[in-house]
Amino acid sequence: MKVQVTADLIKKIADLARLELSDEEAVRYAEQVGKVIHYIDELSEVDVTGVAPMVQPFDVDTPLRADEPGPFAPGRDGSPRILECAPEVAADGFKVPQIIEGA
Amino acid sequence: MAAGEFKTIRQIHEAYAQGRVRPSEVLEQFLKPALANSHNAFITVTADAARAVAREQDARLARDKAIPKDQPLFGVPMGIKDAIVTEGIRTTCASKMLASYIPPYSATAYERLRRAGMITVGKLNMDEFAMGGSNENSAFGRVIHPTAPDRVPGGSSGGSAAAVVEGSAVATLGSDTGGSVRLPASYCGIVGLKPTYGRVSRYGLVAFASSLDQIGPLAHSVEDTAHVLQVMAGHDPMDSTSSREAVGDYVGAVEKARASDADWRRMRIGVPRQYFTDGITPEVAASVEAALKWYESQGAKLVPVDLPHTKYAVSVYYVVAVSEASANLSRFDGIRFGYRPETQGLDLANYYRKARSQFGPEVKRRILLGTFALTSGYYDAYYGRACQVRRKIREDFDRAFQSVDLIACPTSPITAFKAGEKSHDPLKMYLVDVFTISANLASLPAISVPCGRDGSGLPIGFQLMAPHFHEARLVQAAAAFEGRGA
Repeated sequence: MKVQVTADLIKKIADLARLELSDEEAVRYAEQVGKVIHYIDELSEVDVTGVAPMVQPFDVDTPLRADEPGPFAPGRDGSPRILECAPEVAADGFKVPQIIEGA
Repeated sequence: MAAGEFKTIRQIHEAYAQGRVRPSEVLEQFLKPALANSHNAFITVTADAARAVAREQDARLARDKAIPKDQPLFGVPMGIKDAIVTEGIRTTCASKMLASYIPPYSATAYERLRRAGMITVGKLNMDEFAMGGSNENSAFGRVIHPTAPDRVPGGSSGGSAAAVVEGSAVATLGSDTGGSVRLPASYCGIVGLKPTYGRVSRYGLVAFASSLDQIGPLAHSVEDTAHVLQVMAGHDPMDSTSSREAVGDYVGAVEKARASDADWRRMRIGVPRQYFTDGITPEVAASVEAALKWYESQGAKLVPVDLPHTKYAVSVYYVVAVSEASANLSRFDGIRFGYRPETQGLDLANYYRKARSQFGPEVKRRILLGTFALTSGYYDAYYGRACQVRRKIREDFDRAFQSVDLIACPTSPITAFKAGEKSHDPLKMYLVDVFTISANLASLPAISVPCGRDGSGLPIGFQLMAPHFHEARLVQAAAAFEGRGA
């Protein structure tokens, strides 16, 4: 399968990954990523008839635990430390920029 | 042992036990090069906090006149790769995206070392988000090879390797997804070990590829990597992929290597035909062959084995790893941690685009590759197929291990290359990983051990791989080679 990795395709993919690329970057990455994809195309040579894809190294069932809440990184003054990562805090939560119009 | 000469845990602990030196004094020896940072190994040095821990340990040692039995790493200065979260200590993954991120929690592996008495010297430089083989992809500048300034130390745990060689840490933690502990260990002339997938908890290791990542130790000696692994290994309920398999006696395995009737003398060492090909430099080939001949001279048997799907390993990796990475890095959206852009009035998609502008070019390339491989229309031909070939690679190893106890090969076809030599050609850089990648794909434990130097004085490493959870076997065989004498 020979894919034509154009700047246009790269831009579409960048969009899926929410990456912003300049036109110059799109051309550059198209060339570099395209080269790698064409190298990877050698995988089409392999006979994979009847071969199950391997995603997990070991065949184990997902371990379960009792649904018991516990503290995560409790802060010294009682407030959750996780809020220390927040650029802005409001009412015990992460304050985020408004992204919904009219909200 | 004079001040400035401590290199191993054994030397340090003997001196503590004999009252010849205090933890604070040992720490100062390692802090000096850490603060000078002449190879750019460190992103953050935690001198004050380290000194505070050492002072407490001074008092404890003076009072008890012995190292606490439950602290096998008591007073041992170590460096931690900056992909591993450390509570209250900036953790950047060498990325602008996390340049001021201070984690509210610590990785399990780090916590275990800390409770065992390890003193944190600081956080080590790396390729951004662990993506790279040369440590040239850091937002904090490249790491300089500790004995050859125009060369790379290898990556992505370049800082972890440089720190050990320059004497700013006794041992370090790195992470290994496609060779990122073993490759820099090999280029810098030290030992680097990647455990079996699931042997060491990944909780707190910023995820690159969740089915491949493992935290691993680097140090001057096999014994020291064994000490660090012994403390970290074991099931962790916080990591659902961590194994319940019983932890081996790695420190004991080093001791066992010394016995005249040790197991390693009877081991069958597999030599894969596909790993000894044209791409290896003559000096690397000669050095690794000499290492194998040494094992043979001691009674081990060299057995040719076949790993027919070796040639596809790099391709499989650069689909599977990048696909997993594209999913893992989607969490960097400027909301809960990391860089947040100063923009108002954007819709969500544009907000995310601005937030994710801080990735370096290699990270962007891999996210693009991974997103491509997972896109509908390409998914089956790329990601699906790569996972199938991954199983074939795994089956090659399962089959080979039916007739051998270990598999040996060079860690890299080359020695440390010049900075800038491969950075313009991503594919060329990827091919450097050819010998290390398969161990990650097959989830096997592997160790790189120094075995010589090339004409320019650059270190050469050879690699041993063992079946799943047989780190003790790996350590025993590696320790035997290391202890062989001149």
